[in-house]
Amino acid sequence: MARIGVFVCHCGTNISATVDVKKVAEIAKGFPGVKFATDYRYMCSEPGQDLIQKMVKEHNLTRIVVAACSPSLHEKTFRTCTQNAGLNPYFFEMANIREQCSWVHDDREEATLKAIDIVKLATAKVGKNNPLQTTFIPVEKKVLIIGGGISGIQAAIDVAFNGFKAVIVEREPSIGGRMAMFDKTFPTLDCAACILTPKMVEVNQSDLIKLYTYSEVEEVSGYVGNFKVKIRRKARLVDENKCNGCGTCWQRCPVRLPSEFDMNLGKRKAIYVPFPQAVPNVPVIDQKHCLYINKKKCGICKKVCPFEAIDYEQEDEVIEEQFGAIIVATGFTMFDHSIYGEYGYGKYKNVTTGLHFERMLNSSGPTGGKIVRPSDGKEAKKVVFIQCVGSRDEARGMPYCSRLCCMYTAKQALLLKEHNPEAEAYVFYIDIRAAGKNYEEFVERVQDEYGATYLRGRVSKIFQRNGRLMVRGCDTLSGTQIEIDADLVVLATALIARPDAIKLAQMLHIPYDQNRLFTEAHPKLAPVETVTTGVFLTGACQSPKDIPDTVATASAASVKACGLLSHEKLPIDPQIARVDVEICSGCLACKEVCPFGAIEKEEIVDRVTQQKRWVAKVAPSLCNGCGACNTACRPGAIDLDGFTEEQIFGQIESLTADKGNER
Amino acid sequence: MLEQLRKKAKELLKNKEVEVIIGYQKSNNNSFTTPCFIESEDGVDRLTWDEHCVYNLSLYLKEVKGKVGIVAKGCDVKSIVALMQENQIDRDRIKIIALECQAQVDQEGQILEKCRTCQVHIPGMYDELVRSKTSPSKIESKESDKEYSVLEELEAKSTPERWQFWQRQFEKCIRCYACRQVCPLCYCSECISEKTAPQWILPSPSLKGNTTWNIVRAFHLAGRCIDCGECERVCPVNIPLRRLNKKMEKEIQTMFNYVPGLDSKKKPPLVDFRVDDPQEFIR
Repeated sequence: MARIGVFVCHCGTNISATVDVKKVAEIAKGFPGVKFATDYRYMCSEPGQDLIQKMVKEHNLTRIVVAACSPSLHEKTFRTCTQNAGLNPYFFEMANIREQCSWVHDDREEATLKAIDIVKLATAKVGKNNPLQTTFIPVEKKVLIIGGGISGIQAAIDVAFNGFKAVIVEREPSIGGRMAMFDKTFPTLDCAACILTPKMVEVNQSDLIKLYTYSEVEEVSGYVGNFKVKIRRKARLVDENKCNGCGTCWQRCPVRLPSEFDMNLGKRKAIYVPFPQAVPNVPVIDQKHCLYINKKKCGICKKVCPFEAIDYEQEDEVIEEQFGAIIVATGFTMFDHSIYGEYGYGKYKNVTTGLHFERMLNSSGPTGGKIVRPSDGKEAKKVVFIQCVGSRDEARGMPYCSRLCCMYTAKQALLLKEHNPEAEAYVFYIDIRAAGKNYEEFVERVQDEYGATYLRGRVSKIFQRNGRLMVRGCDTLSGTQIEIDADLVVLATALIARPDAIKLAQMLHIPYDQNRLFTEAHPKLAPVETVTTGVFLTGACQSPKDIPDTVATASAASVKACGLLSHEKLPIDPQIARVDVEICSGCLACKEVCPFGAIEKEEIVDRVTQQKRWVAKVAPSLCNGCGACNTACRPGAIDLDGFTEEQIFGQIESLTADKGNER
Repeated sequence: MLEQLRKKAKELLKNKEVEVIIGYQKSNNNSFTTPCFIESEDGVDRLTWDEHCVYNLSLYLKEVKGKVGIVAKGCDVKSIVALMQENQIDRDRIKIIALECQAQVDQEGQILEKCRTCQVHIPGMYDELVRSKTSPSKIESKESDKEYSVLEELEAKSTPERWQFWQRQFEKCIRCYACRQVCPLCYCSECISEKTAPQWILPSPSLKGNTTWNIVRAFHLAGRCIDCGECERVCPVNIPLRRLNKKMEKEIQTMFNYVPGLDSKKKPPLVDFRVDDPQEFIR
């Protein structure tokens, strides 16, 4: 028979002001199995914990109940205290009489009665608690980084710096991501390539970092410490080991296509590297447009390659690797502004986006750094920038602020003036959001020193007149209607989640919000963690972030990942689901309802019939003990350690025993 | 039809595509057939087919090992689909000889209630199909033969009246568990009714235990019962169990637009979840 000790906490006056703690302790003495009960000012204090340990010895207690605050705050404290008293840490239960009682009631008498019932439930449960043992799982000392933009690059560098292996899986032929497309960066105007390419090279040169470019994550199974990941390496049709990136092939390729990297403003070939500093500097063949692949004609690249690196027969390859942790760095995509009628439904060639403008600014870009009108290639002298396109627009776009548009628009206005001091820059804005180190000062400079004209208001219509764009809007500060005949309009389109974000989230069992942005475990206290242990977030896949924030979260995520990897073994909470295979009929309803993918099917030999049959099996490291499987199981083959059916029945019976209970 | 059925069965056995065929054979009572298990070609003459083939033979699929052929009506195929969805049988080892079925009759020759609203005269999944030569619909459809018309009388009652109705019914229950034993979807090797630690259901045939048992069974069949009606047929005390299951079926169809047993690729709604589920029913 369990010998239960009950300790009722005053929590200063947090509890004792509303609950008669002395009475609770007094009545608890009469509950079945209770051998000792008392109250104390602060149970979580050191003297409070000493009291528990002393009473365990004095009264030979075998079970502990602490009636205090929420288990999310001090359960760990008292479990350790129970353990230090020489008992199994799971011979402890917490009765929450603060959050669930004193804080939400006024009537002292009623609240005291409720607290008594809460303590009664805990004593009924603790008597049926089983001793549980923490188990450990080994850790694969390698981190998977999904996405090879600045976020993934920084994460890989930091993981490698900590001495662990990292693998970057990047969908495009080269790492570098969006940042590689930018010209200069705010607020310091460093050239993006100049600060990014050294990091790309570092990644390439590191012995600890492996790159899988032109590859995609196809399947993720397993759990923290032991993720099993299938990676599809798409056929480049170029042997990475033979190619040295000499460029003969793409110089001779006869097919000219719009370059995605240059936002279709420039051309690339059917065999190409997206940009000159690409890492790895190995081309891919665009199978959709290659003449040889489609018509069995041409074949020039193969003929001219001095290293026989072209392999038209190459096929996709799916490889499987194990990882201890995963960092998600998949970044963002741009909002499609063609739903906006007032901006011409995406039909006007000279209405472009920030990313197009970025490529034009770039001296190695498609226009050689000249700001031109895409319609006729003539120099654009009058440029109108429109902010919040798709951002802060709940009806047609995204409800959130994309956070960087104010800054990059200011930067682009500045660079326009630097490229051509005669040019005119107009910026339509709603608010200027320039919270960041030296950000506000930067925007001020753009207005005062560079003379960009800021107009607070929205654009109601863009239309064409005599081959020029007419931008009609209002300046709400002066209260006037404005019409500007512009050469070029640059829309600061919202940063949004990638269309296939949900697919990845489901693969990784991580939640996402209504905007398909991945959700962190806690917005303040766990900003780079997810609820799936071992999966971390960095960069704009979580919410729009500028480069400094992206790099900061990348470093944070890699520290978290390395922290996991620095353990030889990881402890797992023993309060998880357990399958009785004798009872399990193998319907696997549990597997279907498990939100953590913690249940798999396993073939066993039936003890009685000696026949093989399927049953459910719980992966202890994935199970979070939510109990969804428990309720889905019809024959009751699944029980939840720490919350067993016996424990719950014990609780229900303790409350209903004197009320003529019958099942 | 019978000749064709025997021919197909013979072929399957001859070609060693199956080791055993589960079918119907005549009994010594003309208003009745019994299940049979045929393992050799010469045995196929025992097979019979008429309007007395009421049993749902899929009940035996889980127990009979190896490659097995099964004679199945539309409703029986629905339970085969449900068993596949629930990982209980491997489709690869089963050959379905499906029969076009107009209707089955009870021992008095009356068309069964479930057959009046049947939507699957031709089974939805099969390896071999035996078609009927006579044209379909010898049942005249009546206005009262709508899918859920059997529920109308009960649904018209007030909640206390309905409760009283079922209490009367459950009072009769002798806990023989015939309903469970004959149900193709009650396949658990150990039923929750047999669990002792903790004991969920009082085992003796008292009103409280009986009520818990019958309600628990109805809940366990929600979204899964394919309406073969076998439980009601075998109940020795005539509890109208089909109404209980039919009501659950109706609720599931209304809420999730799902009918069990029609598509083995679909997930039953009670073991599915969607992140965008509006969850209107809990508001």
